[in-house]
Amino acid sequence: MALDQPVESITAAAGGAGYWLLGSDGGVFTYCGAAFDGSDASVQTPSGSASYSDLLPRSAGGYWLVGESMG
Amino acid sequence: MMVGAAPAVNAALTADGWSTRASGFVGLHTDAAVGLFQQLRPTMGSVAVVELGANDCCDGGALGYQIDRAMQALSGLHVIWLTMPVFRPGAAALNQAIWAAAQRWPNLAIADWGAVVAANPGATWSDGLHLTASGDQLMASFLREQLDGWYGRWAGPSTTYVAGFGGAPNLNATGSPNPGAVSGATAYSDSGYWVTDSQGDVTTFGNAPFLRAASPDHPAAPIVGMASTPDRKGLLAGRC
Repeated sequence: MALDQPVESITAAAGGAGYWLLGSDGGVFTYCGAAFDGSDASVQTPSGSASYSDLLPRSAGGYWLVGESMG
Repeated sequence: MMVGAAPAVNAALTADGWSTRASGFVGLHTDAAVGLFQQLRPTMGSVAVVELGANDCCDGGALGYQIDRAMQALSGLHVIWLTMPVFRPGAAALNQAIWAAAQRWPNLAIADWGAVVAANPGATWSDGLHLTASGDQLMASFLREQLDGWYGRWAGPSTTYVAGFGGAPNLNATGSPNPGAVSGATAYSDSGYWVTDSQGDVTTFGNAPFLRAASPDHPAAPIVGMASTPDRKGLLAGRC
């Protein structure tokens, strides 16, 4: 699989049920049963996109993507 | 948007440097607008501002369904959807459907135009919905603020940015978040988290407790990662 941007982090899902890879463009890639709850890679921006660095999982479901805007 | 406001909005945004196309339609329902979005989508830029719902029936559930269709048609855009003034019974339920849609669509932001009108009674005629000349100008400046705020996220000073997905709520920082977030960790409550920058300055969000570093702050080498302790009540930060 060809990625648009490099992978920045890997995060295990709760209970070890799979994991996520996070691309710097906000793309989320799920493996081995980790849930896909959305990504930020497909949203157009006026001057590029945010640079994401980490995915924070929630036990109750969902996750946060952490990064910084391109100032 | 409101037919009468389109010229004022176009003028204000163009003067601010935006390349805009503001369109108003009389009596447009959200379901009919979906077809319009599908038709115009290939020529749209980066962001769409939508004011729809006032012509829809008072069934918030139906509007929610139509908003989902509209968001599918506007895929790939940042969408700012305006709430409506509570000008008739049922309008509040429609606004609730608009707010609820933002929980389903991470690229959807809500701009509370209804609250602006409530605070500026002279903005509308006696029907509480259609805009006076001053209301046109108010909407123009309101939309300019919304769009400039969104653009500033990308073109302004570098700032920490966190987006919630799949039921993860968007949370406010305790204090001003440091720019340049490099890593984070989820708190025990599942309703808060910590974010660190490369200097080891930690910002808390939601109800994550403030934690004091046990080792000296501002290490010589930059922080590159953070993890919570197994009980998710403490933090570990790593440098290389």
